Amino acid sequence: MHETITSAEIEVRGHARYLELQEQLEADHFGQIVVIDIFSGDYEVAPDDLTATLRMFERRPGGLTWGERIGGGGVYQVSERISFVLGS
Amino acid sequence: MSSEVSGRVVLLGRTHLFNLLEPRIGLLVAGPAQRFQEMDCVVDTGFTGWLSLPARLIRELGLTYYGSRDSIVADGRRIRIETYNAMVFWNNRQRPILVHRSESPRPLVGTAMLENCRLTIDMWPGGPVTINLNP
Repeated sequence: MHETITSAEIEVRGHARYLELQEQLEADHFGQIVVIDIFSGDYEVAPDDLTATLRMFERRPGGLTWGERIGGGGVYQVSERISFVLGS
Repeated sequence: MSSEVSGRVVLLGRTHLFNLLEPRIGLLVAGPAQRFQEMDCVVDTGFTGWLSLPARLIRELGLTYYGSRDSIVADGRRIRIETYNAMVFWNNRQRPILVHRSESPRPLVGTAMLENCRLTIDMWPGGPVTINLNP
């Protein structure tokens, strides 16, 4: 099932859920990482992606997640060499 | 018990002005099957994650796909990076990390992996690269 969902779709679904939660997330957790399960809409917030992601997969094994930094700024910064990649 | 990870600076080529140099270290990485493979990784301090791997190695290790993460490239572009789980053997124990798919043919180790460590590089061909894990 997961193979058919592109990372663009993950972003669309995940970010739509982010926008629903935006006001509360940005008031309470600005600058932290939110990881959103795109099927259930459940989410976890932590200072780092690893902590939020592992918590999310404990609750929802086999899910698919979108992650972004609350308030913007990107979860990761990457150098040119990682990215010449990933346009998708 | 080793509290150090070591490697070498590799000479990739030369221009008329300077040498193209790449600091590398060996890292033990495993997927869900727990079979650790040593990987020759480039130390990339412009990358704030743990590790990126080419698609071929992600397949070989059988890493589980976790989804996608909003990220920013050095030139300011926004990209999505695909995210997987993995284990590394680091500081005498196994620890979970997140891995991202990259088109770089060689694995890249980023600053999340280096947190609380001391990285020293003698930046000349063959120069030692040392990560002190308990400085």
